[in-house]
Amino acid sequence: MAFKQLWLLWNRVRKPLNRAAIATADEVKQFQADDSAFVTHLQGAFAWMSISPKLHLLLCHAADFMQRYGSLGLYGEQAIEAWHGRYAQSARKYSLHSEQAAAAAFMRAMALARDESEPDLARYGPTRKAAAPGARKATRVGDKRVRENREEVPVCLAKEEKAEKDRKKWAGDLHESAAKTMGAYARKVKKSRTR
Amino acid sequence: MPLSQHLRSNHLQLSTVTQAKLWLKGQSAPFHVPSPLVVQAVPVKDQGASLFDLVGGGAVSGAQRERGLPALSSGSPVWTSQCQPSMQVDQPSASLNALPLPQPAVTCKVFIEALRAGTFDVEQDEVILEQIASIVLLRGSPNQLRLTRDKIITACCVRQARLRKAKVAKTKSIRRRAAARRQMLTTCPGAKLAADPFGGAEDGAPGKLPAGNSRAFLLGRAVPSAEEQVGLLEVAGISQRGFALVRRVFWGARVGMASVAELRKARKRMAALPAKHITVDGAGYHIANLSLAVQEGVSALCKAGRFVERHVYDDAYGAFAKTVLCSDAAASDKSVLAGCPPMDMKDVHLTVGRDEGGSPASVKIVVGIINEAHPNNPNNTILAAVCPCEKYNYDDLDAMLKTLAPQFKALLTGDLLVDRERRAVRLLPNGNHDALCTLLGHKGASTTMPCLVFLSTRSPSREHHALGCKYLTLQDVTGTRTLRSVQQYVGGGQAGQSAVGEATGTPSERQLAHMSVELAPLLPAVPQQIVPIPLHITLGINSRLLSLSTECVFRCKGEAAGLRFARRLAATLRSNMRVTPVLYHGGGLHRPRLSPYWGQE
Repeated sequence: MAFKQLWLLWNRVRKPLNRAAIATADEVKQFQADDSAFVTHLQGAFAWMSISPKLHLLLCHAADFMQRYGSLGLYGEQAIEAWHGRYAQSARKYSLHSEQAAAAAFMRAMALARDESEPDLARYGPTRKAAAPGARKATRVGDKRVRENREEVPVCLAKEEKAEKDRKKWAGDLHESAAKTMGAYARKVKKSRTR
Repeated sequence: MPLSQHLRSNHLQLSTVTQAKLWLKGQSAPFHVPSPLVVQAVPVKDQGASLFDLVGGGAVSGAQRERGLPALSSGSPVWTSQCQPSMQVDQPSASLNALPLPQPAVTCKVFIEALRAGTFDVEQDEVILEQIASIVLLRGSPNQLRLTRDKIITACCVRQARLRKAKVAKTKSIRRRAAARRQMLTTCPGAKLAADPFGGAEDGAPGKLPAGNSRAFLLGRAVPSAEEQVGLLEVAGISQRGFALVRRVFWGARVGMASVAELRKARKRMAALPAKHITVDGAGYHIANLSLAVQEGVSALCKAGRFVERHVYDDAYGAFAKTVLCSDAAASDKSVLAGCPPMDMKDVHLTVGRDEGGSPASVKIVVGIINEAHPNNPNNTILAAVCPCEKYNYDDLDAMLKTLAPQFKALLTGDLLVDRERRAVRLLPNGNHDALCTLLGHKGASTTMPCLVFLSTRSPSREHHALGCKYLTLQDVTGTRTLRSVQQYVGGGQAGQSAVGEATGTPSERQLAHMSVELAPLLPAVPQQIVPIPLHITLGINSRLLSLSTECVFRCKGEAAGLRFARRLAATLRSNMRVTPVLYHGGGLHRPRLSPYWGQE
């Protein structure tokens, strides 16, 4: 029950955390309250949980930053991460005799592309109106907008075997980490009792 | 009969400048159909008054025709005895051999001097002078034409405005709209046109006007210039050869697609711009002039009307009024140099982020301009450097920033121009936590004081009890925390120096001497302006909550149940959420994308 409550609170926090828009005063207040409730609940219901630097960022800085600049998502690091994807996509196009040369070619190409952003170029083509609210929601039974109705990506047997192996490893690591945390917590409790 | 033909069939005269010069020199030369028009005065008797019809176009003199003279491309004047005008006008003749050469005409200079001297005060001259004036004033598009037919009838053709039909066919309306667009783009290139209700085009921004009879020209649509098309190719990741193929197959030249030669020329032109220059050093590839690149981005936003003002809010969530512009005196202010101008100063919000990753692995330094609607779109950011490397440390990053650090300083001191206003730069560092720590010379998340903003310690400890009591720990949910000094991340040389005093024996004092920042910050930063990295918080907490679920099972049902649960969790994530664990992202989860070809066989 406490865990379910935790997910509900997290769901309330993560949306404004990543929204790339200026929040209203009410939204900022709500975020501050939800943020605080999430961390408090986490610490209260799960006694072995310690506040990590990321949780501290969420508790102490996220709300303050939003209050000061109006948004967190606008100032986020999505763009930097997106550059990795673009670099990987372009790697084949700019593959030259060395990785260094490829990086140089990529930099030069991106310098040329800099001021031709999509909104700049969109003015030449037809513009599309935003869809009516709810128009893009799944209405039919077999609608592929619903994740369950989507076809699964076919993978070869070797890849599936590797994925299965990775899953087992991931589960093992998760279990190992949980065992370590719980062990440390048990020792801590025992130590405090002996005192 | 068309007007032009009508004019030719009458007495209208014209000749070329060359003809006039030749005539003035008294030379005979074969005349041909004139090309550049020069106004000629032809005296004709009309109801007792001599008229000079000053209309262009090759014609035959009516007077000459009457006399049985051969048709001429350019006639010589024939003066009537009773009403010779007081002024003499130069009249070249097409048949100088056939007709006696008249007296050499006065030059324009002489004519003007004579005009000023009042030589042409005769009543008959008024008509001619009026016509000269009308020729000058209505040059190119005379709204009124005076025609003389058979020496007696004077016809006056006046251009009349006619009311346009309010309701016309679709084709006509498309033509009208296209003509209006052409006219607007020609007369005011920066004009924003209304959207095309049929095509839905919104093509009012300045762009290249397609030439000739291209389809784009007929539709009146602006097409991207060759430079913009080069940028488009890079944004979309299309090769020049692929573009050329599409252009050829789809007759792209008709809609303004540039040829390979044009693209190459445009690419050369763009590469020569200082803002596009790239420098190479041992660490990687950098923008040669960051200030110029940022200014280019900001100017483009202003030009397109997409510059969005970003505010700083006070405690009551009211935006600080920005009234002060950046000046030379303000640019040397410490706060401006630290990327934190005063609240009332007009500014541009920039983020600087550094992140390693991707395949092939590389470190990328990205500058984002927040003053726009979609700052997270990579197309709206500036890739400042790419340094291919697998792993890096502080020294590597120092080498990477060796070229860029002075440019950031220049950017902070140099200001940015926004609509001709000097604005300061508000610099907000972001990236992942590790990157921020390296950038600021911080020892990392596992140190005693892991927070980059506050002086809080990691957890309560006997060793740093004093610090924990004074500055609180990360585990404290409530309480007032102490901010790090603004100067800590600004003065690079002061890193590792104590804000309190020299290090002494106790661990707390030793800790206070450096506050977990032992190395010089590589870029200036103000603690309150460090972005709390929302994406990495989300990734980290999602992952932590999944671990927490296993810990709960482990705690409640034992170790074996914990392992079973972890395996079931992985299977559920695979079947329901279609995600699978990956070895990168710190053991995160990854959802493979559906291939565009899947299901089409």
